[in-house]
Amino acid sequence: MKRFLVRHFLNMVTYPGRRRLLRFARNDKSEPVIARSGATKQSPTGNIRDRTYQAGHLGIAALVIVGAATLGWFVWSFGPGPARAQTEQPVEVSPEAPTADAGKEFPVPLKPLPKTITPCRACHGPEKDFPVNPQRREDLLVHRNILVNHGGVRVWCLDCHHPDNRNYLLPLSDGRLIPFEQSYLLCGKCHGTKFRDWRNGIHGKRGGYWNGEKTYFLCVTCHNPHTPRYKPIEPMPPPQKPWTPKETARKAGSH
Amino acid sequence: MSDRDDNPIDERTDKAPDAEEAGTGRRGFLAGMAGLVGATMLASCSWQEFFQQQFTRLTKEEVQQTVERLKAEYRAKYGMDFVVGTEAPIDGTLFAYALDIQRCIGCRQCVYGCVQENNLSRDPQIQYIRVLRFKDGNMDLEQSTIYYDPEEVPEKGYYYMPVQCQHCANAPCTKVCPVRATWTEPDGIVVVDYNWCIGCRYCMAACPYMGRWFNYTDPKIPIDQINPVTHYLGNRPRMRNVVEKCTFCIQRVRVGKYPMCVEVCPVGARKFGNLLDPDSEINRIIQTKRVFRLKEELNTQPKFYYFFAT
Repeated sequence: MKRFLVRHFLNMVTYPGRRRLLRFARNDKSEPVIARSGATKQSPTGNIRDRTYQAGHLGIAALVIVGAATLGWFVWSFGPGPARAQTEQPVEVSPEAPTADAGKEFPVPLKPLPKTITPCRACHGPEKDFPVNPQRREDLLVHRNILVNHGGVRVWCLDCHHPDNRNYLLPLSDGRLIPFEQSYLLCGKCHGTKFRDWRNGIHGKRGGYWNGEKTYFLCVTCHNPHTPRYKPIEPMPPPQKPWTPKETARKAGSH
Repeated sequence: MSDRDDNPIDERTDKAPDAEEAGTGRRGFLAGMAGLVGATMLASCSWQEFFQQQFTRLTKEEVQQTVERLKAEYRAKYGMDFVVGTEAPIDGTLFAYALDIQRCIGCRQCVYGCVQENNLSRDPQIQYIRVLRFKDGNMDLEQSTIYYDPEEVPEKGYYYMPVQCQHCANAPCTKVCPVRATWTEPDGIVVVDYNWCIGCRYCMAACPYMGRWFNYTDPKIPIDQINPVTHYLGNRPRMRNVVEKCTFCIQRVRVGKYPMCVEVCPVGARKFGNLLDPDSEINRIIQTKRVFRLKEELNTQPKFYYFFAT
């Protein structure tokens, strides 16, 4: 019975793809967007990153993992664990609300916002408080130069911009506001697969070094958030055609 | 051969008294011929260049001497200081390339970035990258074109597939070289020693991707567009009658930078990385995306992957 159990656990920890899953989970830990999916696994005691199984203590590792997972499940379902408390935090809208750490996860070069309309709270602030109008309307008044064509008619200003604090974008599910410098967190809420590829360096361009520090670019560096489709550009000139006797003969004939 | 060439000047000074003494004798004739051959060689290239070994057989000192000689040569020709690097492959690297053919818009910026970075001849025109345009749903290479020239790209109903050297793991071009002037480096880059190449063009005939180019004349590059940061096996100025090819910008990737085509691509369709690093973007692409390699049935085993990001 004991041997059967050990072998069963061995299968559990060594099935193919497990290492990749572990790596993925490790990446996720530092990223608040998917903190919710990680919350169940990353309970205070459930250290799934325990890699001792690689050193040969497979059985022990399996027991530790299963035990920890069970404990974690208990904590998550019955106790007020810290992860749970975080998700239940009421959404704050004051300017003092905690914000996502800018530039911590990805070294993204900042794209300066146009000076004429920022900071947004100069107009949408406490001094000059324009009333928030949640109605969708065609005439954008002072922002008339902005053409909103993002997902047809389904997306409109306040689907991304914070209605009560225009210096930020809509908050993450844990209440932290998203600054413009980290707009990829907001884009990733809808475009999850693209966000995943971008994090892995598959979608979009990367600069820096192939074996060292890499720079990412914000989604809005290439895609205007209001009209996101990539604009067509003029191609560079085509290559010269090779010399052919036929062509020379044609030219000679035309003269 | 070496007797004649060690002292070509002496031979020539010998010639005059010989001719006076022996007139049209055999000795005079031989001396004259020797002098002629020596003078011809001197005129075409220096004796160090003529007797230079293949790059992989050079000792460190010889490499250093060669680099110094090349620098002096380029300074005399272009009037500027060149860097001729000889960086060795980095341990634990095997370079591979991936290109998203769904994202490529066919703007040809990679083509001209490459031309600028690698000192490619402008006239006659040499471009390492060909951007093929296909009709949607068609993958027949023979029905593609590289001469498309619309107002704006991408065009509706077409897709684009840039083709360059695929850096095959089983490269047919390196097998056919009669003098081993081309070989695969330990980090997977297929390179050419231009000074060892005899210009027979067997490799061009063997390559199924048309990834190699021949200098039919001396390459012409505007002097203000020369890139003086070079590598011996990469973008140093080439001469007439040698074959050249894409080297993944060996002068850049051996110091950690991305190749130029990756750097200039406006849509980020081009990806480059180390196959041996499990966390590199190239490995993530191969693991998670649909990839294919061009003309896989020829068993050339290219390290150039085309992929679909969605």
